[in-house]
Amino acid sequence: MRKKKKKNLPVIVGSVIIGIFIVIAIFCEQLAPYDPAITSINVYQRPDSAHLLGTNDLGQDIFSELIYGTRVSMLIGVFAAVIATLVGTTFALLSAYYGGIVDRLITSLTSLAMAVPGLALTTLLVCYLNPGKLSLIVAISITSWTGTARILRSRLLTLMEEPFIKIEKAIGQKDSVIMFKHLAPNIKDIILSRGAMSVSGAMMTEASLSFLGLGEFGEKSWGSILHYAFFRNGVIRGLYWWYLPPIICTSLAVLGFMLVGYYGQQNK
Amino acid sequence: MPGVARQPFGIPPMDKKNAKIQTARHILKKVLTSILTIYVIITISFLMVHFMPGDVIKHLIGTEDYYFLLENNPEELERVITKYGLNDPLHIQYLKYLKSIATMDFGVSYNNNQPVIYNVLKCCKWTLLISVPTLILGGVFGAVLGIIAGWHPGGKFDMIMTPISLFMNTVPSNCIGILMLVVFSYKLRIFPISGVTSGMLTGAEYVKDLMLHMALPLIIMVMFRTFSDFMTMKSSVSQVRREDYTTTAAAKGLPDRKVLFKHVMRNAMLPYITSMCMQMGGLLSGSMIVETIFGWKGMGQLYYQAVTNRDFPTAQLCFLISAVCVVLATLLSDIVIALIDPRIKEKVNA
Repeated sequence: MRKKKKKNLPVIVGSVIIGIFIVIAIFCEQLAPYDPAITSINVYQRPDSAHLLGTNDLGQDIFSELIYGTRVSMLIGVFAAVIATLVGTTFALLSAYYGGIVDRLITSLTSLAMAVPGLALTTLLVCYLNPGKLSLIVAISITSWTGTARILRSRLLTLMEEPFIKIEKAIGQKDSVIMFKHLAPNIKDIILSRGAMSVSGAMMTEASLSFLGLGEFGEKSWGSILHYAFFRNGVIRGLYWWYLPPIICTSLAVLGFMLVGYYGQQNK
Repeated sequence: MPGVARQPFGIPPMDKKNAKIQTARHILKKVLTSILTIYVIITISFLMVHFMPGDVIKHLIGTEDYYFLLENNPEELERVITKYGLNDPLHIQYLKYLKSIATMDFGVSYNNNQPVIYNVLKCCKWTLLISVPTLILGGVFGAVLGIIAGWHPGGKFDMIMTPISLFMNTVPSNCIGILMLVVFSYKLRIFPISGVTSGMLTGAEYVKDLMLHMALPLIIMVMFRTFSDFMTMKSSVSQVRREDYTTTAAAKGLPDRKVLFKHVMRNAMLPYITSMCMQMGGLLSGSMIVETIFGWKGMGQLYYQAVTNRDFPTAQLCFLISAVCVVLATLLSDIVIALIDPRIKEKVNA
């Protein structure tokens, strides 16, 4: 196949967005002007040169909170998505390839996990588990692998009807080779797009959970900042420098992953 | 060879009656599986309480109350533990739990001392009021737009709609909810800020008031649903577009309309129907965030308040109901697919 060296603008934009957020996440100690946990008497301050985005109800610097929030949100989103996609893909491959009892086991596991409403279970789990990043990641990935697994499986089942797989089975090719060299590349674009959806989904779930007040509160994520802005009258008072930045950051980060995942698969 | 009938190439055609019985058996199996799934979920929700880190009693009455009782009133604490039967061995507790579910006795809410089932049923009505229109409107809009965009992948419509829907899919629903609340309720004052009705109204006024209250949450949910359905349909249609049989159909000179409806749609609808059936499972539990923001007194808000207030019986019943809904929706999608997809039928009958 000919390789086209065509520049794919959305992918570049997406990568730049992700890159910027990753840099911010890594160097947040150096970038943040204040320690976000330190409270002061300057509450509800408007944005000025000392506090770029003003201060919140406890006098904490919102800009620093936002920068530290990048680390928390990115960490949770990416890790949860990686776990979910890996688990989903492996299950789908095993299930579609072997069929029979393996398929039946995995399918019933998937439909069982799917029968549990995602956000509801995640909420319940986060509530029971000790609050923290790890339990958020576990709670999010435990419910989000099912979509990937089911979609990939149904796609693979149609793929298994294709002659080239039947031929390979007939000539006695190794199972692992067929699965990972021939089946997996054929659904690569779906895996990628599902992976991107998983990151965005995980980040959104995290944002929702933290927004509801069930997230990480030792270190605030973007969702937690929004939670305080909404439930401590930031929205009603019209303090847009408080509630807008976390919204923009969350949307931008999710958009970055979406762009890379979505347009990356079309660039072959 | 003489005397041996030649087998036709491929799968031998089956007589229709036999195929029907096979399909019925397949569906029956799915029904049984669903019942089993519901049982397993009930068990899981029991185990989840008992094997989570931390003391069960702390989950049930709240950490602060636990320490308060421990210090000031140990007898009362002991009474509460006995009341919940936490001193019994686990299997006895489990049987008691199963019995209470079988008799539909879900206990009394800690918040307002009403039977939990009564609270939940009251809230179901309000949630369905916005989730059913969402399902229908979003499903129709999404499908139509998705087919148009998927028919010409890379075409003008696709180029405009896809980035918009990608962007819409990236804005978390709580964010867009807050933004719309600020713009339409605080700034423009078109819609009321929160709640279901203003109260004290009857007849046409009541309906109008209700419509105004549900407008914002409904708009947001329909918007999200449309764009996610659009993506599903589009990717499904454009996938089928690339298949060889579509090329063949077009190459043999069929008009576009026929290719679309006879070849592309039939195949592209399968994933979409599955997805629509699945979405029916979220009718009661899918709108938690939007409900919380707009103070819509539905299942989502009830569940959220139950979880934050440690109102355990309510949270558990909400969880079970949403889980049962999803199981039934899955069953529905299995049945529909088994009835319309010939490939699955062959796999079942083989």
